[in-house]
Amino acid sequence: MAERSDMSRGAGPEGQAFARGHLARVIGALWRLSLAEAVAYRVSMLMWMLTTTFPLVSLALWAGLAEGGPIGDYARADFVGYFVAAFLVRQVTASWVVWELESQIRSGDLSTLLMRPVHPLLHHGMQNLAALPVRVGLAAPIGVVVLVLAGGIELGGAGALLVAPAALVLAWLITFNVQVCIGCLAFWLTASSSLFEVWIGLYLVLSGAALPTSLYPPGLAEVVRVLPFHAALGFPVELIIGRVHGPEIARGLALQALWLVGFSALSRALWRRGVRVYGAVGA
Amino acid sequence: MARGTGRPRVGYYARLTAAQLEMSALAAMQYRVGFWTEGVLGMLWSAIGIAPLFVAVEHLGSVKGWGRWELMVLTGCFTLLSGLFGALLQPALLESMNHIRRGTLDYLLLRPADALALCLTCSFRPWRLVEAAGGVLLIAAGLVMLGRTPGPGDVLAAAVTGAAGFVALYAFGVMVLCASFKAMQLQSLTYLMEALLDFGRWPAQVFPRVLQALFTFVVPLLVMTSYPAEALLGRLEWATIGGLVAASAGLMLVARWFWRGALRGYTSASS
Amino acid sequence: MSTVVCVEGLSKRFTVPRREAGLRAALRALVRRETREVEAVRELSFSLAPGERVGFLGPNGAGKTTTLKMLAGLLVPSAGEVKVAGHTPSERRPEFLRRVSLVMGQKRQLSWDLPALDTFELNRVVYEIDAATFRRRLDELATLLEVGEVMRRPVRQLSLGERMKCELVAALLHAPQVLFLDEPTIGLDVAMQLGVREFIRRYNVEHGATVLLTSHYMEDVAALCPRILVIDEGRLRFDGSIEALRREIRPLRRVSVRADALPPEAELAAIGRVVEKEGGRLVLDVEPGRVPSAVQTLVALPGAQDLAVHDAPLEEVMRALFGRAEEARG
Repeated sequence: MAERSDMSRGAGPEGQAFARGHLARVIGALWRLSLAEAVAYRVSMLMWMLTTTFPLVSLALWAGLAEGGPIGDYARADFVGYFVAAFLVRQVTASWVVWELESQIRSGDLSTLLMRPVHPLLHHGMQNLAALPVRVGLAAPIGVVVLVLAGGIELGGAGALLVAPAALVLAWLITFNVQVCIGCLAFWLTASSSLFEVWIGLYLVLSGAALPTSLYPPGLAEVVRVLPFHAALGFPVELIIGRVHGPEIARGLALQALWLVGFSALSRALWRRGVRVYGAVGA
Repeated sequence: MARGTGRPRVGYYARLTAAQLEMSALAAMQYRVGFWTEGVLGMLWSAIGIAPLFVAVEHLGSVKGWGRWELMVLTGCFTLLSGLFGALLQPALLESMNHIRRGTLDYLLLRPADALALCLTCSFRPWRLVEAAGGVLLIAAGLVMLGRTPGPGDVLAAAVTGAAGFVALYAFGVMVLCASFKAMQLQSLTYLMEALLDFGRWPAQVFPRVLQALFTFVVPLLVMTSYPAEALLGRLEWATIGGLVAASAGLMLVARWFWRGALRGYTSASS
Repeated sequence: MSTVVCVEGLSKRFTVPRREAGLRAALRALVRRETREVEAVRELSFSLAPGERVGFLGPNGAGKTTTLKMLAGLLVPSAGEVKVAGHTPSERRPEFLRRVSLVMGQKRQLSWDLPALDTFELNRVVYEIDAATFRRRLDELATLLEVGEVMRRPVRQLSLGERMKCELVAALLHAPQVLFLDEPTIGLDVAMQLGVREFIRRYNVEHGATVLLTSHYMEDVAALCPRILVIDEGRLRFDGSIEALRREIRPLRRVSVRADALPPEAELAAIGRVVEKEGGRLVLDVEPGRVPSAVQTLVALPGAQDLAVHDAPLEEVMRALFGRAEEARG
């Protein structure tokens, strides 16, 4: 009358399949829960979206500046395309895990998450992705309206557009991992939010959110375009509007992958160390 | 024992604000790292943001009548504003929202002083004043490079405009606070404020008419950055200043009205 | 003033959003917010004389804290009249606010990073207390509560009990006429609970401040408050002393004894109602008048020891009171 317990399935193929199925079910449940949460927090989503309308105001700004003639290789119409794409890319790749992590570490709520059979970072990632449909749903109409008012957009060639989703995924992953790294600093420092503010300041200026990175003086522009900020925003945007061609596409993707590898290794290391410190000190 | 119940008692509120400031300063002293994280880093953040401006000047020569050094004066005004916002208004708003969320606003409301005044002075971040000081230096540097010494009238005009703008920003902050009574998630509005503040770096003339109006009367950035800078450069007319002051006063009255409504409907987090 | 608190027909209604669980409901809620009305307090009427110590008792969500907050002026009543210390609380006049004080056991007013003393200083400015009076009151309170050393350390380093004592100091520096206490002993250990209770009683006796207390701990209320108001589902169920409540709900005295041999049920039924009869232990509920004869009988049992006579425990009284209310609602 022995009942087959989960443990008895063991580490063999059957056990592994079961574990995979279990994980899939957990992720599925988490997804549904996160989606409901995301919908419930419609106000915070709205606020978040408004915050990231930075690119749109920048649009008005630069379009105004370019009235008398193109600035660099961007004419007035080009700025429109650029910033609308930037707005949408920013929506898709946005993360707020740095704030969540920081508050959870400080308040001790992280303990609850650590008790769950799902890795807390996976939980945060799922939360972000679950909110993606809502974010895009709210942002897309605005993007369309702006485009219609400003007279259309030039898109990249088929090659570039095919690659764009991959670039977006990489950008999302980079942003997420960077935020995890900075969020983990809260395990040790009380000043982690100030550091994040500096990061955001740098990000806005160097990623292409405030102005296309190609407009920087030559020399400086090359340096800026190699940094992770550009990989997280500027590169996907330029892909979409067709400013990156041929070998540059591969180069850009490779850079993204490189930064991702670096930051994900860093985030993993910081997380492991941090959780140990967290456990030692106690919430 | 009626003690001036009708008139606002300036002396009392001055003492109260001083006491709150002292508390915040004491707390800040406990956290000396704040000089670096809030003061110096804050200044760095402001400095970084000059980049787009300079790029524009590189390409265009001047931005709608503002040359490189004029833009420096403008950036100085912006840094001054950003420092004051971060030192005086933002911490008070965030702490008040914390009180609302935790339910400790009840204690504030039980004090025999105007609740709004208590909320707006409940927390300061003195280290951000380092940033404000940096802004003043930038203004001075820009003026020196231009070889211009503003006359007393110009300085007065700049001070009045800046003050009017700051009052308007407070009014906007109060309305954000009232909104957060209803929904905790609206606390992100303070981050929205800070994000929008960044557009004060640019001269008013760069924005299309619509946005100019928005940023003057609704989210009063330009009133604190462009206009005082123009005043220092001797380019602002008193008629404009009068209009701005009136608009700010109006906004403050509207904010006060919202506040009264919010208190009426206060449900107080359950314990 | 013969009454310091006067409440007439007080009611409070809340509008509460309502949503079921699940994704579909969440999406629906995006478009249309459904709400329902909750009557937290229904037509409450009572009055308190100066210097009284009164306890609010009732199950969770009964409306005790809501009533307290209306008395303090934090919430505006939906209907009815309230007068505290001669003022309407919701107007929140400075003269009123100077005369009252609220201590909430679950929320603190002390600044977290600084010593309690700094918050006391701030309160001194807020309530405009002159330096000499402030020093005198602070010394008195600090001595009574034994926080002279503790108040100089940052609040975050203090234990829960020490923090609570400092909260009490902060609340009493301006010598309020009326003191509202919401769960003041929650989370404290037994010794600290006793200390806080004793302090409140003493303060009330020495300064004549009216004390209004809500607590989950029956012992707090039983030990401290000669008068209790029982609130259930927003309505006042009982207003009077604990003895009166007992007499009305559970007038029987409880007699317990341990003996080698216990008499049979039939005999016991003549003495009183059997509550427990197991091993050598017997517990009976006996009518007050019959207690002496019951005691005589029980003491005579072979090997009788540990004879005790108590009132019915307050928890049981309360349960019976609410049970009755349940039946009445049917």
